[in-house]
Amino acid sequence: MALQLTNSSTQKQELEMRSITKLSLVVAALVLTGTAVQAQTNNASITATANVQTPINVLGAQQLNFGNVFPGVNKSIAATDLTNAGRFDVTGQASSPVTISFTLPATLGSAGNTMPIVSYTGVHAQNNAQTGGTAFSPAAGASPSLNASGALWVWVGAQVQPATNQAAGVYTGSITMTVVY
Amino acid sequence: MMRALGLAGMLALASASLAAQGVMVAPHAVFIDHRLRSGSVLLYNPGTEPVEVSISTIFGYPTTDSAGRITLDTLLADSTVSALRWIQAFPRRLTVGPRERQTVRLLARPPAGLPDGEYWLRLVIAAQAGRVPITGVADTTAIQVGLTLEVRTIIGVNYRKGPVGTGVTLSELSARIVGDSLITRSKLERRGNAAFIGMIRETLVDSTGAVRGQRVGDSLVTTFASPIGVYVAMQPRLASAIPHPGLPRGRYWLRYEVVAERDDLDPTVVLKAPAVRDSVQLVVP
Repeated sequence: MALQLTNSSTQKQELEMRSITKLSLVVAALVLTGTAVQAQTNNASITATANVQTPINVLGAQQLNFGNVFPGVNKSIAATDLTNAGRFDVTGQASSPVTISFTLPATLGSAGNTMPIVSYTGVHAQNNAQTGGTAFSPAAGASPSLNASGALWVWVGAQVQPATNQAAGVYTGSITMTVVY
Repeated sequence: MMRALGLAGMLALASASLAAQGVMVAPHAVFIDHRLRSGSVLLYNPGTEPVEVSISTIFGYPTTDSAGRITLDTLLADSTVSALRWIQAFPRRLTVGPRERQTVRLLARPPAGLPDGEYWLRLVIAAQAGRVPITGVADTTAIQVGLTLEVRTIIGVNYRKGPVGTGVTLSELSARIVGDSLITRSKLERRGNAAFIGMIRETLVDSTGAVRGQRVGDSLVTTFASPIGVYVAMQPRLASAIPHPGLPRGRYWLRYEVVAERDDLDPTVVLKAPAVRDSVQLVVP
């Protein structure tokens, strides 16, 4: 696409400028939803062309939240618990198949003390309400597809098992989700 | 239209998840020309906290398991198409500030006498946010539990030297209705010396030739389309849903085609190849 340019200080003249600019800038890609943007002023106009590059975005969106736990009392958070389950959001090209896998801690740590975390469960769905979602084992991974808008949601739940003499402290660990695109 | 919806959806999600942690990666596939020997990937942090990112590379390409699920095969006996030893990413570690972007550059130093063809590796982008806040009210037990979420995104890097061509063959097409889902399998084998990057399109028609809609997530589509990359061979299983109340009794045809088209990639990097098509009959008793 080329726009005509009029130079008021000289004879009317048509110029054509083509500037092919590859914009990797994701923000720009999101804003420039078309393939071309026209720029026009009183005396000049050019054509700016942006190649939109569909990004992939994998976010840890919500922590797996056990809240307070008590010595000797196991506490489970189900993957179907929309409020407390850990949630990852994936966005990319519509209907793209992806492979997801997890690195899951067996224990959580706090200043040399440990607490077992077991029985991981997972759900992936093409909407954030889990409607029509598919349960899977995070240890085994899954191969879901993004939805028609290019989105996928993944939830993870687990159980922590504090001992009866569990030392006080803040117990932490990391869950890693790997997305192969 | 679908592309606009997709971008709008991504924008909405990106906006809605500003408190979340991770980085946006673009493009999602990198193609490096031997004449330039370099490429780049942009990382953007849409969140409100800095994200620590580490970059690494592995060799592998997508294939399918016995169930037709797409997997990344990294235990490959044949590594003649590996670019792992001579493509490096810089920097290897970086911190992307809130709403900032940074570029990761890929530099290739191919060995002398490298034969014409396409060479592959995978870029691993690991993003770790700061510690997540640990919620819960203070109490006498004072045992609190918090888990850090880390994400790793793996994308493909394809290095092309000299004339490269691709194509795909299609065989063993099958389709069946399972519950409310349409399940298909096929065997795809790559031709040429470069990966086949394209789309699988499925259209379901009834005995009158009328197209029957399929449901993907919350959307109703007339043709189900799935991106595909055939590096060597695969037998992908695809599933789409039949809208309620399902299909009436009768005979249907599934039209299946594999085309070298991708609207999510720069058209100049999508190698042209003839489309392949087949169809298979379905009977709903």
